[in-house]
Amino acid sequence: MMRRIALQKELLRQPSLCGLISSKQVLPLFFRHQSFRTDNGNSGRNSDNSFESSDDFERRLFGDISNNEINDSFYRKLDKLEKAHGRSGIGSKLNSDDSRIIDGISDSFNSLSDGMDEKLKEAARTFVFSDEIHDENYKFRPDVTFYPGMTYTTRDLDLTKPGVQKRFKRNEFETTTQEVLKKADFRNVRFLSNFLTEAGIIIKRSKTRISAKAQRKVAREIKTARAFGLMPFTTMGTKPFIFGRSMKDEAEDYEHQHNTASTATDP
Amino acid sequence: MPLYDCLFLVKPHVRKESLMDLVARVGIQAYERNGVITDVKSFGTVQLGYGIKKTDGRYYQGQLMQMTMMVPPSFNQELQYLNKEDHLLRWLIVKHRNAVYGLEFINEDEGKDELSMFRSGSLFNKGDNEDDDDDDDDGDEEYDVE
Repeated sequence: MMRRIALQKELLRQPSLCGLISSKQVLPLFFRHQSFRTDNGNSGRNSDNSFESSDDFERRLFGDISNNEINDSFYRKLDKLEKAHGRSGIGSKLNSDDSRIIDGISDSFNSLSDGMDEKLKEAARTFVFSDEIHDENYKFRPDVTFYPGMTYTTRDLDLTKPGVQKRFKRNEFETTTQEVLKKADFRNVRFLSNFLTEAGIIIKRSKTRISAKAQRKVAREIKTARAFGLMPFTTMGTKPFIFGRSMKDEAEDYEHQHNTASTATDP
Repeated sequence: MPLYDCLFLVKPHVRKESLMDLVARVGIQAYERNGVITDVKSFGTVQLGYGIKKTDGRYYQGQLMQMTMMVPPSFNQELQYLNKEDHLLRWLIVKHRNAVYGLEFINEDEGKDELSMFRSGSLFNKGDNEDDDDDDDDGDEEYDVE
């Protein structure tokens, strides 16, 4: 698990690196130095470079152009900054590796020898997982519950970011004012039953999201239908009202309730 | 005369004949009051929202009939005898609120015709034709009468 998260973090950092590289392309010289520095990072940092002779430097840079010292001090600063950002280990190696690709054009130096390239490629292609996925309670993202039929973005799968629990929108009844004004009629029980709760109460306007006029009409039609016997006044303590189904308590209803071990059996 | 819907909710076991008898009686009443029946509809057996309790037990189903008619507004009073009807579970009379009657109805149509005439752009020709037709019709009628 931990390994995987680390890998993901690393991969996630990739786009930012790419951004860096593209911006760096303007200065090819910059790269060469940087790749060099990161590769021999420790030795370079330990020895005091500012007092090193320019010849030494040129030798190390394979006969590169002059004003190395200025560059060097500049890159040293960069290195420090990098350290301060906490980008070390794989991060800096990655950096060197990526810059090497562009470096290959001038083939003054490349870091192919360290074998990091293959390692990284493999890391990018393989997804490490352990046996935990066979676990019954395994969750890729334990802090977020994904329901079937839910959509998610790649950002939701990013384990480095805190999980945002989305409220799953059940396919609830939604309607428009126009539709209501057209369809609401006390004979149209199928439509009106959408405006009743399980207990047979009319759903309020803040939930139905229709105009006051339409809501008044719905309420009026439901009340007419109630008085006419087509819709229930209340279904508290009885089974919920569903269009086209009898409200009579039948034996099979009780059977179903017993099967599901429901306690809400009515006398 | 306004347009009304008259609905009858009848007990489920009632035979078709007695149901039709009941509806026909209301229809005859409407005709007696110079009314017009425009539509008779059957919704079949419907499930009720709750058990309607009558002297012979609770009813969870009913047969629904609808009669649309144009009757004077006092017709509601004459239907009060339906409360004592044995086969009925509920009955209801509702007015059509969006119905258009009489002169308004006619004017609405004429307005439409005028608009269509303007759209075609041959207002005068059309008017002439209509006049001709009318004249012809009148002539025919006269001949028929003779």
